[in-house]
Amino acid sequence: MTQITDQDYIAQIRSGNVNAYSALVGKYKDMVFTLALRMVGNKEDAEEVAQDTFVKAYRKLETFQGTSKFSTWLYRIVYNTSLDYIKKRKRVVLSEHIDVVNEADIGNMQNALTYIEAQEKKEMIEKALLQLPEEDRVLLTLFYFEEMPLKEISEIVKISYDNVKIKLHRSRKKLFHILKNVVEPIYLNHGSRK
Amino acid sequence: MEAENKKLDQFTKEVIQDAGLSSPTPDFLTNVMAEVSKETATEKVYKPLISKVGWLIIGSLFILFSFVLTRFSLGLSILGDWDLSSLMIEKYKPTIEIPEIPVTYAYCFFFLLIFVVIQVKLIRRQLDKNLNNLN
Repeated sequence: MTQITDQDYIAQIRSGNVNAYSALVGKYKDMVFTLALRMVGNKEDAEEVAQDTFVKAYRKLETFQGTSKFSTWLYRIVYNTSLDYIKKRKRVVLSEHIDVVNEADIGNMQNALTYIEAQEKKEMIEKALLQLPEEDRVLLTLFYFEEMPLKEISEIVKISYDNVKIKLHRSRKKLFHILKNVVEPIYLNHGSRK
Repeated sequence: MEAENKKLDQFTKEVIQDAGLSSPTPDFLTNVMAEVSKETATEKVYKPLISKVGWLIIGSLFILFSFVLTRFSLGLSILGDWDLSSLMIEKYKPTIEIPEIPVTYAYCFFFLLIFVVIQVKLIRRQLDKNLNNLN
């Protein structure tokens, strides 16, 4: 059985089959929602942004030329929609100070995280991510979760390839420090109970 | 330094993968599709039955015919030299004097009639198309 590609769905939508769009929404809703959530910071707003993104994408579908992947094009829309939303709310996230990271620290953190339950760990990471600037959260998600090439990420966030590289390097250090502050006390507590 | 970067890179990857994806509410897809359907309904823009070019051609032809007919009219009627007076029954001869209709006017009326017939055909076709789309 041949797999239906995004391009096939787009062709169907263009020829008047609106329902084909539900397949694309179903395929990308979680990633779009996650990106929106990591940008705007709460589920209610993220749902609104994600919905807005899909409606905008549908409206603009005629202008999608297929020079980039549909996902790249869609993530750029969710990124821009989230930025507009944040601008409206004028919410500013203060940047985390970056300290030096050493190998031993990373090892300890990995150990500490193993003691935390999956759901708790997920919530903790989400909270830590929210302490990062919006752009950093998106960069980390696209690079480490979606495993997108740097070139495609630079197209989404509209910054140069080198800048993406630098920002990614900084943001992972920032995330590490935030997590360290959250996880270390739990780990120490666990150790003292042992 | 290189090893440290690699380790941090791996650590970040694990952390982000652990965080995974979040899902919107279960009715998200329905809501999006409802919005999209609304968009499709409002998307219908007015499309004239006869395009601008069509009107230009019709207008030009109309002006051309009017000009030719008024300028070069030889006073000939569509019926040519046929004498239909024999068909007239004296009894039914109208008592009211009907003013003579100029030939040009008759031609114009004839063409107008053709336009109306074409329009009706086009309107019917458009209405059928819209009905089919609704079904």
